Amino acid sequence: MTTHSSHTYHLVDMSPWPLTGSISAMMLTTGLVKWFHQLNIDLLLLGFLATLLTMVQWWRDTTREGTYQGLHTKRVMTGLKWGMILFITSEVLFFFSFFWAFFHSSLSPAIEIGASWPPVGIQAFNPFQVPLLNTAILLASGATVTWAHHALMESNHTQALQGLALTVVLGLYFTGVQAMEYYEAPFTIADSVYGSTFFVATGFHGLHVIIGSSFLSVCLYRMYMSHFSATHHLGFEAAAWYWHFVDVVWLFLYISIYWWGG
Amino acid sequence: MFYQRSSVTGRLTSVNGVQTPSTLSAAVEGPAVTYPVGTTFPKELPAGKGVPGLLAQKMKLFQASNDIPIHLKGGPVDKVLFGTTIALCAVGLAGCLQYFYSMSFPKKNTE
Repeated sequence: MTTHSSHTYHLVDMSPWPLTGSISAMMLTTGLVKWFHQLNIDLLLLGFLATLLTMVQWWRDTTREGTYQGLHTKRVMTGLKWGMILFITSEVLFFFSFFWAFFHSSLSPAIEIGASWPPVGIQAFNPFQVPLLNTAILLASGATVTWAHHALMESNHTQALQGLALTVVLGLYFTGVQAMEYYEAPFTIADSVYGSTFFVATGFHGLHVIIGSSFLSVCLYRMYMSHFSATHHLGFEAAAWYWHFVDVVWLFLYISIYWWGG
Repeated sequence: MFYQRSSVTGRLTSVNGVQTPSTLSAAVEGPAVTYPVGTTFPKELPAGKGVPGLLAQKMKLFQASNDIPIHLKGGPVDKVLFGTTIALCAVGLAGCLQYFYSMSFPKKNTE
């Protein structure tokens, strides 16, 4: 396909990835059912592998179109930005439902859990120990990603790399500390509605931190390969937006679930 | 005649193109621009690093005018990855259908 056109839109090539992505998603869901019924994870693993391959190749192609072919014009970038904004908005609503469940259960605790929050028998985490450290880590990572962005806008490649690398390290540090906290937890996901709301909300947040760290790692590689310029670096900006979103969700989790609800 | 002031040379220059018949397009030049002594011109500035070699190679490869779709344009590795993905999807789809069938028509316990 030619990379030259007389308009500013991006007419994409025929792509196999929506099809392979859909089939992979069906493999994942069917694989989960098979696992639950027969304790057999072969279809689930196949689904994970196919999903991973689809993701890698689809985003690789997006990079090819944007960085190598120059098809991400100003107008195309506006569309991509709106896509990211709508995606993050949908993610906000996703977390809104878990906070709704938490406040529903905690604001008027049922008689079955002792009419108290945390429920009778639940020993909650001290919010001023590991959770506060995690808050500091995420806030610091928000600062370092901004440092990387400003360095990038000033064409300071070295500092942009340093700032972004530090952000990725802080993201991994958060995940490690959170994993330790889960390992040490005196309650499980099966311990009343406290355990359910706690692990579903913080677990999905942890998943989003891992996704954000992967997104930032890809950006770190692309920055190292000089894919980003001072004026054109939408992939990096999208990753930074996503990272700030994950950061803000943590602040709400910390304040409501760990601090107020602990 | 259509002409404009060039922001590069600072002179009035006729524009070649559809607006001006080429046979009539005598260049309209203003007086030569005199620059203050010590002016640094862009071409005299040290050259930047430009597009790094590997990136330039990739740009050339992916901007080549051929009918290869973007997901295969990178070379043989692309074909292997694409083939693997399609094969996994085919096997997985068959696995899904086989599982749906086995759940829909479970084998009766003969004992």
